[in-house]
Amino acid sequence: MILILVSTGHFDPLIQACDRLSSRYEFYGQIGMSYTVPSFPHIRTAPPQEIEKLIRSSELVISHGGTGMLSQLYAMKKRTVVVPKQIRYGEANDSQVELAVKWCELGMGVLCLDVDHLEAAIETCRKTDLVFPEFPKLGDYFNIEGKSTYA
Amino acid sequence: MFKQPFVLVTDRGGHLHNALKLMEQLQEAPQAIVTTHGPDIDSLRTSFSNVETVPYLFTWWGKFRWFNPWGAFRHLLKSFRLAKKLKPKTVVSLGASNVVVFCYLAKWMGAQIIHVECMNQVTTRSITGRMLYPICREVLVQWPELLKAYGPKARYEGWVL
Repeated sequence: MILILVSTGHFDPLIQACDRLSSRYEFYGQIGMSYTVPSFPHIRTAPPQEIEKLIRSSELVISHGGTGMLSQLYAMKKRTVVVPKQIRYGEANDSQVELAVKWCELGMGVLCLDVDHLEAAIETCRKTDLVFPEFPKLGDYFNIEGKSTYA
Repeated sequence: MFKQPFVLVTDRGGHLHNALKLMEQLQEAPQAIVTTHGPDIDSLRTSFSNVETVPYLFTWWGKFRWFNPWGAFRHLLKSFRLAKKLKPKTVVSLGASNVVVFCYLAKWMGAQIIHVECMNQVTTRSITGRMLYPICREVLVQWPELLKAYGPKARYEGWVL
């Protein structure tokens, strides 16, 4: 099963693109407030624990580029196609693009900036070995005496 | 751990998620979390007792927002009351726009402000970061590339996630 995660907002172009591919892939969508009602099984929203269960049971995830969702996928080391919400898809700004590009440059996901190229991104993601590098924890800066003047 | 009690201020959604992730890393809990109302507030209140909310500065209609003078007045009033009540010595901000007023008021009342830049900002500064930079003691960015865009008060010390 391929899980689609769009958070609580709208992401109609992604849902429509997945709907067009639904004869080839087994999709399950968390579609938020999207106006499009897809033909594949879907839910609007779910509690975090249920989302986590869905992520675990999926083969790969197609996710929007929000920090919350990407961080959860990073923590679970999940195979992910990242489709950032963009102005051309009705979003108020392109704030997700910078992070999505960086995320995929680091090899933590496969970038898909154009929903018309989603199929190619899914196939690339299936074949790619993703990497999940470790990063320093900001909390240590506050916790460890001598690192900052706050501790 | 923090030498002094601190207040965590953050907007709803991804910002709040980041704030909670930072809290998991910290050895000490904040004296309060100041945020805006969202769907995850009720569950947050069950796990953390001192959660305060401020009204939105902007009114949203789908993807569009506009400045709401009545909301802004209520926002200012509530932020002032909270800053006065909490009297924070240190404020850790995780953005976004709804934290700016509280931070300025807290600074005016003597607090030191630390802003943690949103993870979305890889090479460009956020509007909140630009607005808070003048009053911040430090801006903590989550990508080293962003240091170039900020001044000397910026530091890279890692992720909140």
